[in-house]
Amino acid sequence: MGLRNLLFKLVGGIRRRIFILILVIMILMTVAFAALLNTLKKSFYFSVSLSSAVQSISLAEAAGDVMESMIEDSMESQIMLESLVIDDMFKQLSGHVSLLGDYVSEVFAEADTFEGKQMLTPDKFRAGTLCSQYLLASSASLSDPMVKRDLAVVSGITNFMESLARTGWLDSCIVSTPSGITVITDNKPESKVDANGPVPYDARTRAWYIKAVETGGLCFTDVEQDYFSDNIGVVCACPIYIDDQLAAVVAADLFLTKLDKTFSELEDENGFVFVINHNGQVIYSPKQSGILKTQVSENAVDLRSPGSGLSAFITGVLEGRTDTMSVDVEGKDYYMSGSLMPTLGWAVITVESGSVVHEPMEALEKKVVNAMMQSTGSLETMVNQTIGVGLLILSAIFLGGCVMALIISAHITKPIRLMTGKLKSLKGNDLDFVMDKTYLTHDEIEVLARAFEELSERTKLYIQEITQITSEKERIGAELNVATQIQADMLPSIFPPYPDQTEFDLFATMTPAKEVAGDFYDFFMTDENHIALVMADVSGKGVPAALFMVIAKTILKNRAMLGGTPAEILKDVNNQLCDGDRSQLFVTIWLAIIDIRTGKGVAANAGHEHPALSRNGKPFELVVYHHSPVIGMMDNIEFSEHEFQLDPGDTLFVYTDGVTEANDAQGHLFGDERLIDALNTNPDVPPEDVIENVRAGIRRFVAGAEQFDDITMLCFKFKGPDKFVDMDELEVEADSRHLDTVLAFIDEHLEAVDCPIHIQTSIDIAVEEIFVNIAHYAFSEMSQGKAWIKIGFDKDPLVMNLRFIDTGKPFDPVAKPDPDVTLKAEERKIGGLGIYMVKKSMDTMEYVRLGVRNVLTITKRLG
Amino acid sequence: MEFTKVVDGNKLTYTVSGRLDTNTSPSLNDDIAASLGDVEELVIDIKDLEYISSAGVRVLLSAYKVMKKQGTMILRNVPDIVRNVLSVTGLLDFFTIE
Repeated sequence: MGLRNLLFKLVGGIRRRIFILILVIMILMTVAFAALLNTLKKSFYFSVSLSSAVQSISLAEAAGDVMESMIEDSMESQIMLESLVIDDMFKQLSGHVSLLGDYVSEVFAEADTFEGKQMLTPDKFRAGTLCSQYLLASSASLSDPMVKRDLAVVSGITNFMESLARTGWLDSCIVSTPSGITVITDNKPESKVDANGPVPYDARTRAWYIKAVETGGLCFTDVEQDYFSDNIGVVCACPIYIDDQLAAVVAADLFLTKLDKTFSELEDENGFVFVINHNGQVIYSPKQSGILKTQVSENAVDLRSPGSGLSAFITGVLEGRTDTMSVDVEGKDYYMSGSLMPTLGWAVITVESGSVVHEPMEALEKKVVNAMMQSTGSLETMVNQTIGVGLLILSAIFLGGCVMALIISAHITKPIRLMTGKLKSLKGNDLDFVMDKTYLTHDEIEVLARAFEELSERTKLYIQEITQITSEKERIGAELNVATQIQADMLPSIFPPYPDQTEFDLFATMTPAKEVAGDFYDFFMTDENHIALVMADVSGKGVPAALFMVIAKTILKNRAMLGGTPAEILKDVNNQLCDGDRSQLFVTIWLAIIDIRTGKGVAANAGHEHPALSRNGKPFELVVYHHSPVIGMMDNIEFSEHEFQLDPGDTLFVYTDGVTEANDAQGHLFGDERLIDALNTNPDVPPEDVIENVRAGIRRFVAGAEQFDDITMLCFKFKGPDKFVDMDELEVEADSRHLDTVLAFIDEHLEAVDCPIHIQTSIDIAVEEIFVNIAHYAFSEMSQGKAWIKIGFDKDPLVMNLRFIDTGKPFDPVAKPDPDVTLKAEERKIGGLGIYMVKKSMDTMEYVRLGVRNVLTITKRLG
Repeated sequence: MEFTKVVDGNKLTYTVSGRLDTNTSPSLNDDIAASLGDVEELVIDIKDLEYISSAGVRVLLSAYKVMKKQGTMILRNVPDIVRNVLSVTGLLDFFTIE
């Protein structure tokens, strides 16, 4: 609890709510900010990665393009160069063939001038030696003059041929004549010899011979296999005409192996060069397989044909375009560029593997991507650091916000807390709420404070007023209490009212519904033998009814004391009450005047309830007779009355409508029947018991419901006259100090009838014992009361009649057991002897309880 | 009621006259009760006692009860009126009467 109280003090109530509110807002803002940061971070990453991807792609593409174009440029310039080089080789070849042809035609033109020199046939011993040898076609013979002449002519040019062959631009020089002689200058004589000697060779059947003859000028053969070796090569041939007669055909071989040197310089792992002829056939290639391998013309494929995959490129190249193209050959990616060689109409094509282009591109791309990734990574690190710092700042703001929230909430709620404290401390009558400058917040708090101030002022005012009203009410209440007491005092309330009058017993009560009532009862002796009984009910209740009741009761009693019958009395009372404005109040009255010696009575009933009567202990019955009008309604009216006779033992019960109209919780009335039933629970009892029976009946019936009307009852029990009626009487305080007075009263009467002295003494003793008993037992120190002593005498024989009456508590001395007089004196109790002595000395002793009275009667014969 | 008393060693003699009733008995009763001490013989002379009620009888009875233990009590000169009362109450036979 202590902790909770402390917490409440620190951040309790509204303060806590404001604190929590600010806290919640801050948390929400923090979360929103964090979410924003996160989103920013994500989108940043996304855009960075996207742009880096785009950048790397475009960079790579750009790099690739640059690379490609560079490669293309280099390839194109390279191929131009290469084609020039290769073309030059063929040019040299054709140049040398032309030189040879020119020389041969000159020689043949002057054939006759040549003696010739000896020509050798091929000799395998000269293998490797550059030399000129002649071969004969199998149809030719040295004996043929033409053969002879031609051989002599050609022998004259062998030196020239050998010098040409030494240039290295060609592999062999050939001069063939239509006569069937062929002179070959090369360094492979061994290849033209077999076991039978020099092999026969007929040049006229060779393609280059035929093509040269057909062409009639310088021409190149396709790639062909050398007749004498496995070499393949190209032959450049030229016919020589003398006087339009074919004299000879000169030719030179160029083995393609000669190209190898050149091309091998151009070839590397990624690229190579190949040559095609004008027919699109590969005439030279370093490839040993595939469509790009070198083949003799008859086997070679025309690459322009659609199946090769190179047709567009090759066609373009042969048309003289040098563009670099990306070509797919047998599943491999190549870049190719070609260049036409003007001499032969052939083309040189350089090939670079795609990877040469792609790898640098990819490497570049990789580098770019790496660089991108590196920069992205550092960017991310930076962003993360920034976010970390942001979160730190956010935490600091959050903590600072908490402190600020505490301070702000404390500040905002300070006036409210002050006000609450002030209001709590208002105690008792100190309701002063004083304005404080703390409350002057120019907002609802100030309004509230002002409202409290006003409330405080008004409350103080109200309390003052209420205090006044309350004191006024208390004053009125006190006055009403006094009025109630006065009214109660106006009704005879001492019972028995006439203790010495044993002819009747009387009891009455009034229970008002409000402080002062409109009901009243009354009884009074109009003379020594007549008692007047009154039961009345003023209309209405409260103060006005009570005031009217006072008037009515006073007038009634005053008028009754003047004498007259009940009807006469009521008539006068009515006239008096009708005199003047009585606020429309009226009163119902039952009035009876009874002769207590005879029980004869006269009654008048002005609109009042029927009395109930019990004859000699028998059940009560309502006595119904004619009612006169109520009193106070109209003047000058006559009232009827009727006589009745009460016998000893008869009980008369009168009441107001508060009895019969008593309500229970459901609004049912008590009614006549329940009244009679209540009376008859025990009809033969003293008047106060009769009334108590009715009250008990009403209590049971209403069962706690609020009393609706005044309840007033009077019960009169007639005992009848006896011989004590006119006897002499002493009224004395029941106190043993008055013993002498009592004895003097008794002795006076005894001496008057000449009572013997010893009897007088014993009577004195008896009177003392009884009186002292009454003083000691019926009363006490606390409740003093009176006793009435009546004494009288019967004559003849002379008998004393003595009666003691008191209103003390019931005490029956007759019933008291006698002391054991047979006991020894020392065993005796000290008390108890007195009454025993009375019993022994007097003739009779009788006790009755009459209402609230003890009545003890003793007799003693005197003579 | 009036009384006198004479002390003679262990003998105490009261002389009571007048009316011994409810109102007068207590004074005599108190005096006797205070005087008995080591009295061995109590004599109450009631020759001139005119009236006695039960209150007076109680005085005599009280004294008698005390004296019964420490000696004797003698009622002297008992008038008829007292004799009657004592007779009625059955005490006459117990008291020593001279």
